[in-house]
Amino acid sequence: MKLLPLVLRGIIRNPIRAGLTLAGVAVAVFLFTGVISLERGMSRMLGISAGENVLVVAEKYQGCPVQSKLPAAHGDAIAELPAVAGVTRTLFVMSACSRATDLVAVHGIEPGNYRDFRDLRISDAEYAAFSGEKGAAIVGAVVAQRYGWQVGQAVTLQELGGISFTIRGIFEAPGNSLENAILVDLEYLQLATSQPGVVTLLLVQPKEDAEAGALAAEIDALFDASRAPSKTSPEHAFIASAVSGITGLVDFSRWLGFASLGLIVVGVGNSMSMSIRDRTREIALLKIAGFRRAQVLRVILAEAVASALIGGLLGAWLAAWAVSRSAFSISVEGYTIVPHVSIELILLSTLLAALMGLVGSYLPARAASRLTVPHALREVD
Amino acid sequence: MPLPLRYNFRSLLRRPMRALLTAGGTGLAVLVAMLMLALARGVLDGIRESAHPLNVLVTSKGAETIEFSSLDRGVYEKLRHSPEIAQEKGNALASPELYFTTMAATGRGNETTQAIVRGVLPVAFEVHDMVRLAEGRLPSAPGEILVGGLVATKLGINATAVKIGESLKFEGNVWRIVGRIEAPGTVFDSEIWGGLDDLMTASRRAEYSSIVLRAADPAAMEEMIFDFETRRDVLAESREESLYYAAYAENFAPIRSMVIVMAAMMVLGGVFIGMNTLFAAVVGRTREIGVLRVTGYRRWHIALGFLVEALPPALLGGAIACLIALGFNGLGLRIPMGAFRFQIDFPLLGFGLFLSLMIALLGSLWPLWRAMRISTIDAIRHL
Amino acid sequence: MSTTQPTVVEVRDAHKIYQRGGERLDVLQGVSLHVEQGEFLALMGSSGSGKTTLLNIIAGIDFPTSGTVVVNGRDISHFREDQLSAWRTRNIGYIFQSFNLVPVLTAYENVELPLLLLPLNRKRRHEQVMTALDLVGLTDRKDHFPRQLSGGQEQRAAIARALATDPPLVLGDEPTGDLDRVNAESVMHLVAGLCREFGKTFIVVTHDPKVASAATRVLHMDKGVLVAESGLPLAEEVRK
Repeated sequence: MKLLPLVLRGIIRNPIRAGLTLAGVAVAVFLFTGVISLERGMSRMLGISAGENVLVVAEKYQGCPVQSKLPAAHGDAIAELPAVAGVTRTLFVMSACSRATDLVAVHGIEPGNYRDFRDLRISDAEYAAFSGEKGAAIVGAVVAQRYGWQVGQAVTLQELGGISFTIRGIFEAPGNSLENAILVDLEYLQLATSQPGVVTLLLVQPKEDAEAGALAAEIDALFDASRAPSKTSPEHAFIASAVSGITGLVDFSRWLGFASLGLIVVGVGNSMSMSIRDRTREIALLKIAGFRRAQVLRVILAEAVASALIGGLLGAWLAAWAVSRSAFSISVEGYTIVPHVSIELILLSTLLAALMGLVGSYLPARAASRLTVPHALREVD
Repeated sequence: MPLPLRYNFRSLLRRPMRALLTAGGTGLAVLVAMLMLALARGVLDGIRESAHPLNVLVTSKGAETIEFSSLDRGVYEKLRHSPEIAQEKGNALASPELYFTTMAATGRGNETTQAIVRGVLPVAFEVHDMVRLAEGRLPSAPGEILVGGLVATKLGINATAVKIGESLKFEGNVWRIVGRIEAPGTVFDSEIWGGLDDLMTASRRAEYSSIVLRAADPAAMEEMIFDFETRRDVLAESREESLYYAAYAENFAPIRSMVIVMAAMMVLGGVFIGMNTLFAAVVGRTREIGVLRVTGYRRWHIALGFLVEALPPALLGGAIACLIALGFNGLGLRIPMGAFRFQIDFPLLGFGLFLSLMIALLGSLWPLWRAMRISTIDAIRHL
Repeated sequence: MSTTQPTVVEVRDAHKIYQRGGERLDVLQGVSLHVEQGEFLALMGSSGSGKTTLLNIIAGIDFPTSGTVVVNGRDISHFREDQLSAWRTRNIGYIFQSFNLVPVLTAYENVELPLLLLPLNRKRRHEQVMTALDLVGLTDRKDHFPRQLSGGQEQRAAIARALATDPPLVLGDEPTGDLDRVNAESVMHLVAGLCREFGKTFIVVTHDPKVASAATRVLHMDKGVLVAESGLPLAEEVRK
């Protein structure tokens, strides 16, 4: 680390080259971070939106969760099962299954026990006001911000056939897809959409010692022969399956991430290769001063890594800023995915940038360290 | 171009490593841009091109998409005799359809994934004339289905699992594949088609999802739609199929903006690499530039020469990118509610090469300005 | 001194001021000069005396802050960069101390460089290149790259290039500075001889007294002004 001043001087010596290399790395890392942030957003959404140990009961064979339809009465039968600690019913009303943007989603819930299943951050007063009134709604913070809604406002949704409600509270559920939804009373929604007795999904909380798989099978067995057979699965798997339509794109964009890392390898490698050529004399002087081959190699590599590190940090930080400022989101079958940049991702991107810088500059650096003094001092063509 | 080309080409070859790396950077950027563009095109155009300009789509009132639409059978009976409908061999081109998503598994497997199913009558092939039976035959008995070319991709399974003779399991039944349909570049390519009544029974549905009517001509189409707005006996709404799919495609607007941003970033990265290389060339040969200037070469001669020097690595990178992109041609990718195929065609490849030229050009602006700006006296004093 | 020959260079009260980072340098402080056709003029002086600046102003590579420079009847002191470039091709042959040749071009191609700027057909151009190479004795080395030539050969190629367009004025900035004594002498003889043979005017900036001794006129500069002139041929001086 005593080499640090030497390394930094090397970078500053050619400011335009250093600047361009840095800028290139920053752009590549910005892209990489942005791409991975979508992936991270997806797993975060999955992790937060899925209740722990919660089982989802949906209509069997239904390909799109939003369109699942089950009789509300199923809930009663499920509640009777010994392994069940609690059941709640929800009804989804959405503008489209295939909508990727500006999805308007209304969930009919049972206010009494819904919060046993979902972590909603809302004042008790507001929730109480909502629970007590049939035509009331609480809306997610994201939706409220998007439409500029305030508590106390009466809203009618033209898109969903004119459902109206009065907003009694705004809730937060960071990372949960629910933040894009409007919650109203189940029965109220059933009546408003002329679907009495119909629910979309039932959420089941198994007892502490219950085995989830067995319970799921038990529930499905209950309704197997009925007119509305069910398919029960852990919520995590359920949501994962629902958003699986986007995994193709996410996987593809990961390749894009690799391409941007490749750009760092090429960019830093090129920059170092040119730098080294300009400084053959300096390298010879280092050797005359007693630096061994390995030390010369280390100095050069350190310079490459330092440039890549600085550029990487800049790019990652810019990506974090851009993601936090952007309203970009993609909805897949009712679940909304928002890109997410964590400290961990910033660190990962930065370190990967440094690694790519190392990879790119290794060969030129090795060749430089091998230059013999007479060769280096001679006017190189 | 008084400055001999060989001067610039040989100068380029003198530093092969940086020429290759610059080519690599440009190539990466162009490859990504081309693939992203193919993605956006495939997804968005693929949806738009699923429409026929003379088709009218009838759905239930208030249903934004077909999957949320439920039409009473009676509506079909009322509509099929409309005079505006095109006729083919005495049959009205009116196609009642059932459209739903389900969870399907291969004949042997147990894992289910989302599949899109469309129940149709043979007339559907006339109404959606971009769909054709490529292999096998139409279903003639219950339990028989046709699969689109991209169904395997949509289901995330091997193509061999959906060959004719294989089966799929959904809606609690086993279905035998008796034919393959082809509708490249449209949504139908990722769908499973089966007999209308058969599928209605199997999925326990009593209503249609939509009715697609082919108008005899544009005037007839207008008549048809206007009629709908004034009719009281039919509780449904109609619109031009092309408008429906255009609106549907707009839903994927986030993908389009994502694609543009990503491609632009890669291009910018490529520009920085090229700029770095050309800068080194200009600065490193400042004295040489001075000698040329003293000899009588003008600023723009020298600048043009450097620009020419920037082109071969970029074009090489672009060409390699095109070759690699071709390897992606025909590759299927699953997307929400469907799948699409990468289409790497000549216009796209041409765009790739054009883009590589643009990267070279943009990357050369600053270095060229630098080369132009320096005075002769400063240039010869350099070094 | 009789002035029977036409004036090739006329410099009147040339000043050159450089602004370098807030500092003002008066490199030339009122230089006037008169050079006739056929002269071999040596400019001498210590570093910073302004001799190279004067040479470059005459060459049209640099321009005076004030004063006039008339070369071959044209006042070039107010020419723009591009005008100067075009003018230089036909009017000036310039020889640098080092890095004269473009490394990626052969001796032939280097000599050809100025000719590519003239409206010559290929045959004519080839003839002129070969003539120039022949004059400096490099015909057998014409396809060699600079790195394959010795120092002396490189300078000879530079001379060939300087003469290729048959300019009336040839200028050199320490053209023998990088050469060993033997080469320096032969190169100097070569270029001076050629200038004499073809009636060209030759102005050289030099440190080397041997070079000065071959000149018809020697001017000394110090701190931006001409301070002395010794120009009579050695024989005449001795006689005096």
